[in-house]
Amino acid sequence: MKMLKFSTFVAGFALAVATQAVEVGKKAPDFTGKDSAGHEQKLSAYKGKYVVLEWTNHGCPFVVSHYAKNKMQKVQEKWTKKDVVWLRVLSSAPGKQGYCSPEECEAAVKEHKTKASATVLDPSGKIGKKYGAKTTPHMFVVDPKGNFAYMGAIDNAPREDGKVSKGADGSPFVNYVDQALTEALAGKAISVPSTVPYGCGVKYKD
Amino acid sequence: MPIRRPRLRNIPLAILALLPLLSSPALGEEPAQVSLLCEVASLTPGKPVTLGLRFKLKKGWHIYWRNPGDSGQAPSVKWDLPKGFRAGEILWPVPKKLPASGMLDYGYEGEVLLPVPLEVPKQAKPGQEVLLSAKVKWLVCHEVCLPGEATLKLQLPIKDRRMGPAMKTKGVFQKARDSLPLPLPEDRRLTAIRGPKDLKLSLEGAPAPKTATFFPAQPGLVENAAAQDLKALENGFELTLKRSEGSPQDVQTLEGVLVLKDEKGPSRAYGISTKLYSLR
Repeated sequence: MKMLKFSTFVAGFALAVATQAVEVGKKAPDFTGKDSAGHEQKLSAYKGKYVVLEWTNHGCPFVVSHYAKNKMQKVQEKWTKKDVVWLRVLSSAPGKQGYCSPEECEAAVKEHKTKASATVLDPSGKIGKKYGAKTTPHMFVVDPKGNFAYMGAIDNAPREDGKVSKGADGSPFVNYVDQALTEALAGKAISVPSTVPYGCGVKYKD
Repeated sequence: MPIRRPRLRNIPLAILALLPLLSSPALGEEPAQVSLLCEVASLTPGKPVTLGLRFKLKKGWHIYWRNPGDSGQAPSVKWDLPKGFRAGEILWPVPKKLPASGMLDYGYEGEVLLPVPLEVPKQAKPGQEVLLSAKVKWLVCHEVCLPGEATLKLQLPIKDRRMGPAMKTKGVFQKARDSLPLPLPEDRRLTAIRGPKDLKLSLEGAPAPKTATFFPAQPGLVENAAAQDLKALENGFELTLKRSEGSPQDVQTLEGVLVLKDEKGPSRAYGISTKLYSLR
């Protein structure tokens, strides 16, 4: 009983800490994690560059539709070619949907023809909780100073499942990450710096 | 009543095959059965009726409320109706809290009927039959999420005088009606105030309940999983809701459902849409 209470307290505390810091304009928490290729990825090592963080889960239908239609890969390719670092983060716990061993993850990365810089494995959910990542996909853009420039949904078409390029409410389709990077690299203010993320819940350890 | 089974999207097999340890259900074990019902057996020119989208969910699975919470997606419907017929918005029953590893979603488990009002035109001709068609999309989750889609059709006769509710649907619609939030009683005074970190909702005119739960209808305004602090006032109560990080500071209204429960008796749910004042 005591153990249970303690762990509940710790989890609550961790989330509270995460929500304190995670805000547009504030410093993005640093993290270190092994990627699917076995390399160490450290956010602060990319200081001076824009970094995109994409929470993912290969089994989530929202993620599947983005990858099956090649939509996510296209945006990844466009920006990694322009020296933007794109890190996918996989916070599914062992036994939960989307969890994979490094070998399995690396095979999935190749099969999906992912154009991200790396896929960071976070089975303990430590990085995800630090960022308060709630859904897959949940997107963050970190500016060259290490501050949050954008956070939220990948686009404004959660219902379209990649089928039609139109916003959910009939407004024109916007990929918020693409828009934020386009504006930021042109030296403009980011017009939509924060949105509500949509998708499957991140499959954290219970 | 026709029942359409959910049709899973064409998730490429190559991708499915790559999913290690994916605990998705075996094909054929559908987690959601969806059907289109009408409260009455026939329609009458000029008289509105209530239709219903009924979801029968496998144990452990859920669908979502209009604000799904931290993840998920509300079901949606696109109507294809004869000329002059008009379907309204879904009337959302009071949802359940669906917690998952530090996050909170809102939705329904078991069996739920989502009522939809239908306007029948005066020009509808008795003796004819009309075909109502609804393209329904939903997301059903239990550890994993599966999108579903179905086109549901219902053929109904138009008669001079309406036939009473069919025995089968009567109870289902009554139950659905009972699960809808009510308007606040006239003698209650509701005030909502926004601060930089939280929103304070106070209701005066009756003693404080034992518990109060607010379900926010606006996504991204209230931190879903945060505790809601209830404080008794002299003849009412104040409920403190934690704002989401990055929620718009100048938000003008607060919409949602307030569920109150006393020591004894059933809970009461009220639909709320109120102006948010700022503290100076």
